Amino acid sequence: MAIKLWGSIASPYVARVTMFARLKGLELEQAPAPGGMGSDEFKKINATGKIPALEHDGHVIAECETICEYLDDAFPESRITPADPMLAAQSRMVSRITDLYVAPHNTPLRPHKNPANRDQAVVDAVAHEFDKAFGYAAHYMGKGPFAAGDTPGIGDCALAPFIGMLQQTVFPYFETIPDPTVSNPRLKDWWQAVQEHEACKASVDEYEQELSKFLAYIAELMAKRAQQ
Amino acid sequence: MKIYGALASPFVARAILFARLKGVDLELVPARPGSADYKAINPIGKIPALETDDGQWIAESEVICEYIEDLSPEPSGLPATPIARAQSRMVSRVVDLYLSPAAAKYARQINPEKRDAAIVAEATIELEKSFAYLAHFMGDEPFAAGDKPTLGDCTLAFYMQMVKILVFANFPEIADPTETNPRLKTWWDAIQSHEVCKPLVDEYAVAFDQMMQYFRNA
Repeated sequence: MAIKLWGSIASPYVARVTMFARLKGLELEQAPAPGGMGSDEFKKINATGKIPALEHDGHVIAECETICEYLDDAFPESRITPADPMLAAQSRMVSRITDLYVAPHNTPLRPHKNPANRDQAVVDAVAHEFDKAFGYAAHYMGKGPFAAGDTPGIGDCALAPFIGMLQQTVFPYFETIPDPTVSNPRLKDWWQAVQEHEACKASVDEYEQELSKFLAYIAELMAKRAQQ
Repeated sequence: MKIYGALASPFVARAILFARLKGVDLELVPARPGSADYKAINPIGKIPALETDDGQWIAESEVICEYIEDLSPEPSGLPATPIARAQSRMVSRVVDLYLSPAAAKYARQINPEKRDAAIVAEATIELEKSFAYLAHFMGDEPFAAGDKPTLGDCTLAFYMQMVKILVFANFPEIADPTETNPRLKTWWDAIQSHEVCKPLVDEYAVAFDQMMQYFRNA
């Protein structure tokens, strides 16, 4: 039975699921959210209107983390979650830290990209939050090189797309926000492992390409609007 | 194993109920969230944190519950089928991502004289959406996903009790979904009739109320 995934890969949450599915060797039938994220049409599929949503076996499951756990439960023969409970917890901690402490701090930076009209106090506050969040991630990761152990799992699938996103949209623009995969030894080792892992690298590259296409589209739209 | 925190936190209560349903022994050690002493244990500074028998640490209530589940799989704290497990986890997720941030907005709006109507209106839209999501994503009745309480119930039970004290008691114009939404009414009745869930939810209500009074007097 086909497994359908709604949502564009330009979302780091969708990329989490595609990376996890790729690690499991599962084929997902992908489609953009009909009517777009938050549309009434898509809300008929997923009540929250958010992407991704997974349709399988007559059910719709929302929220990327829940979807990954579902795929691991529904296809246990390619189980990704480590059998060792502590390693599993460390991997899940990295997901949770990504969702609760990394993800919320990207959006507030957007209006401050241009140094000419930047509020440095906002940037400094975000820099501090990112510094803490990456510190938490490094602290709770297990023995490496991946988030927990020598194979990638749910935590890697959550954090890697976010790092890819920040490398495109944040670190090059804000000199006071360092890339933790350069400055933090544990995250440096981790990122190197992700880059050297075939399936992880393919997923991160795919996500980054889709994201840069999406960003180019937005830039074009803004330029057109400015001309009008 | 030891759990650090206080029962007045719905996150701590989630882990305690989950462990209790599974018959896993957890010793509650008082901890002050955000204090320097506590951050030395859990740099995030939030409660709960779990100390394992071999001295390792895990934070975040949902991760702690999954760890306890992996460590002692029987009796399971999650339903049997993959879809029902997803439904139970979805309930947790909806609480953490939608209900919890909406509920937090009421904390500074309790006093009617200092109330900002715009904040309350916005919070209420979000709160009601989260209730609709919960009812939508729940699985088979009467609990969050099936005939036994599982992870999602452990998360939602304390939050529902909290919004009863924090929101519905102070804002009578906001409907209590355990009275108005049939699925959530069925669910709440099941929690209230369950011999393990009910006493802990009651204990939490007392602890939360005491904390509220402490802040009011402080």
